[in-house]
Amino acid sequence: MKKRKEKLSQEQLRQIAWETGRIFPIPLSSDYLSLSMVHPRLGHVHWNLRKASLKNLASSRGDTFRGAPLIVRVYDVTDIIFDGLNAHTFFDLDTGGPAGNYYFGVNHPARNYLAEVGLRRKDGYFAALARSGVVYFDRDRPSDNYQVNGLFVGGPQKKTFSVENVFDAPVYEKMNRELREVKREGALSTAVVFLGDSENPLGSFVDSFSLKVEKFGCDVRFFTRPGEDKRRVAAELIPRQVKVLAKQIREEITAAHMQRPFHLIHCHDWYSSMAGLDASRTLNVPFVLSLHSTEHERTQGREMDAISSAICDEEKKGVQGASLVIVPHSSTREQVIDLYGAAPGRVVIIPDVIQEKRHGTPAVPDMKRRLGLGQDIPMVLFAGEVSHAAGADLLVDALPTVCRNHHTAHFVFAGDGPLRGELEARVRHAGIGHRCRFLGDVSHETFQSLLDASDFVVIPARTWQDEGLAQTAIHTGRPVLTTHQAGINCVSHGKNGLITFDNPGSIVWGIQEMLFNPLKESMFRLAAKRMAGDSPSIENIAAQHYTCYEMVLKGPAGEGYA
Amino acid sequence: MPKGYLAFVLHAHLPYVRHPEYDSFLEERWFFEALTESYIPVIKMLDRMVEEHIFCRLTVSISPSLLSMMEDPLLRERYEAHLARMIELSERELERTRNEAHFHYLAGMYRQLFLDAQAVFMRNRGRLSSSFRRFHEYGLIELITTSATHGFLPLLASQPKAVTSQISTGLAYFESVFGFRPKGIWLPECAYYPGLDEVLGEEGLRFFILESHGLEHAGTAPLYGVYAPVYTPSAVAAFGRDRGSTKQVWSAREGFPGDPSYREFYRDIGHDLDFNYVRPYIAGDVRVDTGIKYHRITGPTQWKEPYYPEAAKERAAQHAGDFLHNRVAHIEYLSSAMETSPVVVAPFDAELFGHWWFEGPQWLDFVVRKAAFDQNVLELTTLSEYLDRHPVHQLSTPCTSTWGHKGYFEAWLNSKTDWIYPQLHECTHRLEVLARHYKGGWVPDITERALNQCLRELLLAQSSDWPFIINNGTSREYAVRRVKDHVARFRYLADSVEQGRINEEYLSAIEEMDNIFPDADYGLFR
Repeated sequence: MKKRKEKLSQEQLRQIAWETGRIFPIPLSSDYLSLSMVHPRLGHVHWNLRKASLKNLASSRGDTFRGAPLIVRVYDVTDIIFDGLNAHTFFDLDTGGPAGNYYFGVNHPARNYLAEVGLRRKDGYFAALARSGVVYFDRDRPSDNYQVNGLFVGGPQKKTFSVENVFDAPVYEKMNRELREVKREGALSTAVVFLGDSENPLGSFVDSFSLKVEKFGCDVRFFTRPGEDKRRVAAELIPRQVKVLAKQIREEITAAHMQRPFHLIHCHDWYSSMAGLDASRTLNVPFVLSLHSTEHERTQGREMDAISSAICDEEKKGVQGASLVIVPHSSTREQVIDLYGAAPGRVVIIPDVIQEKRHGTPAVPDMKRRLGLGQDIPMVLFAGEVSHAAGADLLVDALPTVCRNHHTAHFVFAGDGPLRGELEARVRHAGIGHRCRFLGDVSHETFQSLLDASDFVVIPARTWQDEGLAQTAIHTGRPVLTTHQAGINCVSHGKNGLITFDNPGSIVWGIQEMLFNPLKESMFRLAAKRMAGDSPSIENIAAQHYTCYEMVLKGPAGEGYA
Repeated sequence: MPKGYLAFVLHAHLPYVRHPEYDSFLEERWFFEALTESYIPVIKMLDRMVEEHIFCRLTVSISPSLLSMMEDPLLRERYEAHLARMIELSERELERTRNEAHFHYLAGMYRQLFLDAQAVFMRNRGRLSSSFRRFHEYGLIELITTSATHGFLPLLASQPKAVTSQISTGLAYFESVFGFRPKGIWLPECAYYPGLDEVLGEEGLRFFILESHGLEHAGTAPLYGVYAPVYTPSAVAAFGRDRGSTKQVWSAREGFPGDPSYREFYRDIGHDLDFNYVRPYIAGDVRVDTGIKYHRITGPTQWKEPYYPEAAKERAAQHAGDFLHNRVAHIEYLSSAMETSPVVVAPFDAELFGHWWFEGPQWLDFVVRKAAFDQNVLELTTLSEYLDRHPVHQLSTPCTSTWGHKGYFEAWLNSKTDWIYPQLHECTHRLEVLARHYKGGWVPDITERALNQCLRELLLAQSSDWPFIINNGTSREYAVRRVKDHVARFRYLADSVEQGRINEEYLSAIEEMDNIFPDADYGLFR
């Protein structure tokens, strides 16, 4: 900003401020319509139309727009590319004139809206003169979309990649911590050698983890058995066959290295290690060996024959030549240290077993359909003996009040007992028979389906109850409403269920709380956490491998693990 | 390794109030009071942390409009004069209260407070930004900023350039003063709408702060609530405010600041004493606060007892212990249920500490010391330090939200304020048209100056403070006048440019009156 040479006096400034201040407001010079969300259920539009625009429209269409009112039309354009005619719904707002503003209520938040201002003829034809942008009227309550995917964002967004399961955060945090000082230009180049059968589970594991590791900035070149050589060879010929293969692969690695140098060579099991070890010595790059099992484990302690002894020798050579040995569990680690003399600091455990995880819920719709319930109807499950001790009557006492306050919830009683007939009659007399289903004893499969279909399980017992039902429910991801008297310790109040007292008032409170907030968030978190804990994901394993690679490269001859 | 983190975020912001056309101006006192009572005490506290080698981490957001006032030579000069008057007043108070021992003691305390403020101000040669920069370099604080004039971004979103110019201009000014770009941003009024993160990502920002429900109602429900950030699709992290910790401090009724021992804000000698006595020390003919207050809150009564600073300090220490005890217990629980380390984000208006809550800086001092020495469960952190240590978080789109009344936009868009937005819309539209018109070709120097000044006027008119003040009713006339003045000045300049008749004197006068952001560039609207 350039400064004027002569400074203006305060008097001059005041005079100019006064003069310029008189020319408010600024006349609106364009046709526009602006739409804003004030609240998820309240919108606001302000608009301006020039007289000329209205006149042009009128003159271009003859008399058809004479007396046509000026309106604002608000469209629901969620998930569509709006072409003027394909909105889900719309509604009209009567405007006061060619410029103005208007507040309007929105019945359905969490939708995209767009507005137009224009003239509406008597026959319903609408000619828009200005259109707003699309505005998302956000939700006014928590979302019921639970996903565990996340992002890794390293530093100032320089290294960003997706993470399938945020519960794996500790693995990535370790990776971030360990590799803070690593500043590599370009990708880490790795030769992965696997000479086993690529179609067996281990082969597909190595293949898929090699693909995953690339997302961390690792360039993997995969070396497998040449061609489609899948001939079976006699057991005694295996070591010789491996030597032949090793020579061939070593040459391939060397040739590839000449084109683009490798930072390290990673081999899987003894039959691959021979090729990798030779190549690493020739090329002077670190060598990493994954031993998915030792020959001692495979022979299960039986006396070793000549072939097994030869394999042991190869394993030992590989272990001793490796900068880092990766094993799947602690017993393999102990063997590698005790039998093959590996330095403990150079043997790390990374699991290599992946379990297919169960996603989604089983056939819930079927069960609800069988019970005559809509998919969105909340369903509460009582399971077990229909007796005083189990508190079935307390639940039935609570139901009239609950049903009055919650108009859609249904209650399913799975099990039989001395009170069943009486309680069925009571719910009918209370006028809530249509909201209750007494199924009697059910099969295990039916029970599991009921559990899956339910929103939560009620155990309103007066006396001590076995924890089995509660544990199964929680394991399935369903919270449990129980009483202090039931003595069920696996239910933690507010986390995976609620604990009330054995009286109908307290149970009414508990059911209503659960219907309004079925602890989905914490239950889902517990379920997702359990799934994450069952076995690590392939991505998790790949991240650990990548960390190991970088640690090996931290210093000459893998000082990172020295 | 701590089990979790506590992240204080202090947001320092005032609307740009500078009136060179008058010798003194009532609303300029907002800035002077905030300097004396809040910003300088925080600087003093941080100085003590440096001297005593106490582990301290705070995130401090300084708005570009406040920074601009801190840097402005005229306001610095006026603040110096204001301090001199306050010192004189406190000396007269010493004399006036010589027969009332306790009030005499309090007058001495205020004299010392003003002298200390003067010393800090002089030591920094009037540029308090240099202190903040030093603390940032020491790692005690992480400096971030907000949009240029605290524009309420969701209500500007229908014209994307209005949003990008607010953010770009704010970041550029911050960088021109501090010499580095901030890693995060404080969204004005914590106001977020889906898509804003994209603009932030393009500016290279790593994080922003949201109101609790902005995170709790996110597109994908956050597994850890507000105790871990989520990444937006643009890879910018969104931290959520922890209601518990902020309410304990912020709430006048249930929070610490309402304690009977603390100083009463509304009993000031500017209102209590003879007007002729205080008149020489205040601007104009209206009674205003002087900052000298002798009473404590006492209770829900008109009767106020004398203020006892030592007792208040004792309470501040107790409240700091209480606050930290609750955070420690909370983090103990959270860490048992989370795979990543929890972070409790406690954002506050910086003016709460000292200005509204006189003992606030003492309380903060105690919290920092207790966090450093009395426990090992949590650690204070800055938000980018947390992200450096914990780079993996859930992916989600936060929900539209603000930290204002009812959580959405009612405080800024309502029947009292809706006249503002068509005016802002028109100014933005006119500037876009003008910028496009002058794109590419040679632009006369004076035209360029006028266009850049148009941008300044638009930015100043967009400040969220004006609708907020209008809605609240305090200083309403001033806020209305400011919006009207900036829009009118914009109109005058735009008309002049369009007609090709720019009056250099008028342009210079407007530049002199609204001299914020010297490097403002209308090219952002091309």
